[in-house]
Amino acid sequence: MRKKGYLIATSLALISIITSCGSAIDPTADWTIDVNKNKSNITLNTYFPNSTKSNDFFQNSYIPKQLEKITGYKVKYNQTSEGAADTQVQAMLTGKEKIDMLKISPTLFNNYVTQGYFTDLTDGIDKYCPNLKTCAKITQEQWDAVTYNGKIYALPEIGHTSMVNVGLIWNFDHLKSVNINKLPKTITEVDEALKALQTKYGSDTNYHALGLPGTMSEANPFTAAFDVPCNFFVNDNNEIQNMLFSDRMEEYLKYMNTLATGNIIAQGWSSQTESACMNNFVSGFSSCMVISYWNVTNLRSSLISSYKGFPSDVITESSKKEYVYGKNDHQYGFASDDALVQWEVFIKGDGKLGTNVQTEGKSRDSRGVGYYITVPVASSKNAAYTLDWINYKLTEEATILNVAGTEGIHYEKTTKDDKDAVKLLTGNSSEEYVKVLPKFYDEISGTSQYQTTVNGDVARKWWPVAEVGFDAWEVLMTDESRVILDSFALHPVLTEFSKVDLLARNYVVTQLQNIINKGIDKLENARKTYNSRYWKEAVKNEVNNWYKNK
Amino acid sequence: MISLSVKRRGIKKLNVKKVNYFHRIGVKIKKYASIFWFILPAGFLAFLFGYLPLIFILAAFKSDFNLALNSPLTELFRNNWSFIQFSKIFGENGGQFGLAVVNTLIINVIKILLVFPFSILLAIMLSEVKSTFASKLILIILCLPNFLSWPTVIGIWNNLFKDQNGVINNILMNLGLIKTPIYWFGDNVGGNEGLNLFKFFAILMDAWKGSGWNSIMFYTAIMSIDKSYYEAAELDGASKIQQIKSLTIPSIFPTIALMFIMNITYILSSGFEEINLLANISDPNLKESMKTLDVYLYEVALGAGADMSFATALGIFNSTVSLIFMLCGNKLSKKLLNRGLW
Repeated sequence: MRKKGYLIATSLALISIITSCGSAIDPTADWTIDVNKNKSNITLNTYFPNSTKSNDFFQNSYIPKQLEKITGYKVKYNQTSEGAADTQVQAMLTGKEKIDMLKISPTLFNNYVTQGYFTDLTDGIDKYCPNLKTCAKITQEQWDAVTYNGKIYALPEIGHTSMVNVGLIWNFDHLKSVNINKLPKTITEVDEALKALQTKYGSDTNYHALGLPGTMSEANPFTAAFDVPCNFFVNDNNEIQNMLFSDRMEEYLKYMNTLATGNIIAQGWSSQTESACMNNFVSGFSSCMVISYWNVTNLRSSLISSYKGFPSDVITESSKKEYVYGKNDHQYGFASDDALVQWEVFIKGDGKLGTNVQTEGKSRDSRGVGYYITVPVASSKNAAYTLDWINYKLTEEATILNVAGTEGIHYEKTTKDDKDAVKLLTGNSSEEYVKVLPKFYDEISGTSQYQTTVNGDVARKWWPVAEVGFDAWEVLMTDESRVILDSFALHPVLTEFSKVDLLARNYVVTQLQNIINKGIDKLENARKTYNSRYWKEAVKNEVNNWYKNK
Repeated sequence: MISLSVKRRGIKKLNVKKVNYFHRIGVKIKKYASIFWFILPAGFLAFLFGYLPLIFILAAFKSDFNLALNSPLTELFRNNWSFIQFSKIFGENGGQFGLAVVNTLIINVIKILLVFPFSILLAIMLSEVKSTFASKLILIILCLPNFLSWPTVIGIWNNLFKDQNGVINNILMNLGLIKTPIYWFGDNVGGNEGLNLFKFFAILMDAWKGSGWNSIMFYTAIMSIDKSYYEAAELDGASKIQQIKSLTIPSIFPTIALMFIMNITYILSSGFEEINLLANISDPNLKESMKTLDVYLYEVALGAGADMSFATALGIFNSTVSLIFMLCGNKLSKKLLNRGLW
């Protein structure tokens, strides 16, 4: 009897353990919820791509607190890991973690939507997020890109149009030392400057004229000068093909290889981070680097505290700051012409090197949409609240809060005559000016990560205020200057392609780095491997059938 | 247990029950109840996290394994059984798999041939240190790297060997031995096309990190050898080398056998963290060509395009091979060292 008892108890324990492995999920969202009744009981759990700020800062700064007061939603802000976002997202989705809003790249979206990991939002958008269709300018192509089997599984992230995130920053003292007194603007001028600098300073074996972070091998001012496609392009047979097969990519890689073999970039550049490049720049081990706009202020601060090339009469903190920023007032978006640190965002090709498509200084836009906003199925029952929260963020009030803060605390309206006036991009003949107040730098500056799902038009208008915090180049592109480089940017979910997209992308980036280091003779092998592994007939036909029929 | 039963003629006949194996176990458990209570939590956890999840081996026999909606168990018993995952190992993914296995085997065989004896040598050298304080201090210093995480270890070695401003390069250039920095983590080291030191660094870092810790087992075994044997050997005129060869090493054969079998069991595992992080600081070409089985398994299971079924099949293959190696290792150890695990 006792033995039977032990047996029954053990069996029950086993069954309960096994069944606690998890139950099936109902992926259907509840679109009957009255969100105003229960929103105070809801804490939305959100995930964004990694920014340079910590999770604590993200959670406790001014903007999320204000948003909570206004929307009534408590929100938990989390960031995905910088280097392992793919793995983390995979673990969160398969582990059915309750995430109410997950911001991911189109590649990851395509990878998982075919497996049913995201909530169908089609029927909830009109009811809970009407601002999406009235305030946000989402094109039909962008909606198609997030539609699978006739249902909408994500929201394209609405931003302030494309941005020029990276530029080429120079140490002007070094340029003057090789008798170059103006910023190089064409690829030929850049090439001559780099070679002259390497000749002058290259006797120090730690010196390499150009600092290039490994993650920027396929999208930087040099690729623009060579008119390199991004990700995919249309070849002469009117077929979509990977950028690895582009002639212009080949020219770009050949040129970058000359920089590598000439010691102008370090041998280990492909594993260098942006911060390592910044350290080398500050230490005088490079004279030029590719840098993101949000790091320009950090670089200048580091130079003020650690640069060893100051003249002997520049000793005090204020004189060092003046030396780095320049004594003359600088025009918005441009460094002072006497500043130590100056930049050039667009390098123009001139036919001799690069193409001459860039002679008009056109911007390069790599893709139509950067990120998608999804609601994983584990949180499908909260989808209505997520959409309602996003709906509020699309308003003018919320967007201005996210970009510029609160009037009277972080900024105030002013007139044209105010020397600190920042002109808003009204897009019409009317002029509006604001100036930032000291609290802006502590509480608002550098917090652009909150600008997910804001009103694009309003964000664009107020973006010059955000740029004050960075004090770098003009980041926003005008619509006229945008040139879409990725012909495949806004494709719908393609089942066969989505299985290989992420792997293929990682492979191509690695091969670009390899070819830059080793030479163009590695390109053929890379192309062959790409075709045999990632561009099989099924994938190729699926992609090109869509393209030809679109 | 024997019981008596009354039979027809009043003669009590013996009814011998076979001695039950489980009954014997039950008696022992009762006798040593307090010890079993002590190990019960650990045993329960081992069962919960080690044995119970084994049911998910069945995922390797599915054509796909999608965890989006169904619970893992529902998905496990869905009727989509197939051997396709195993055919993928040697089929469409055969090239990458084969390369990963070769890389892993090369690294681990060299570790067994060189790093393993090095731990023994370290322990022997340590045992010869006369001062107790000095030997303990040296042991602590040797064991310290073991407590560093792999990212820290890779960071330290990267700072030592990096091409731009690396410590080693600076020393060599200051000594005039080289004119330009060597990209130690590249795939044309010193200008020699195709020469890379990836595996060398993987083995060296592992030796630096783990040898001290591994030598503790041998050091403990050496310390437990009766000192009178050494005195007798000294009286007989044996030199230090002879004492080590004839006394120390044979005395620690059981420990060597145990550690050897454990090492050979994990011959298909070369440490995911170490290889993955080392690949991140190396030439991008090496990321692809130096991939080991652990890194490949990680990418298949959790990386881009994750495929749980295929990853499980790979894991089963890995475990089966490890089991075979363990059995062979035990046999080899018995043959060469007269010692085995069983």
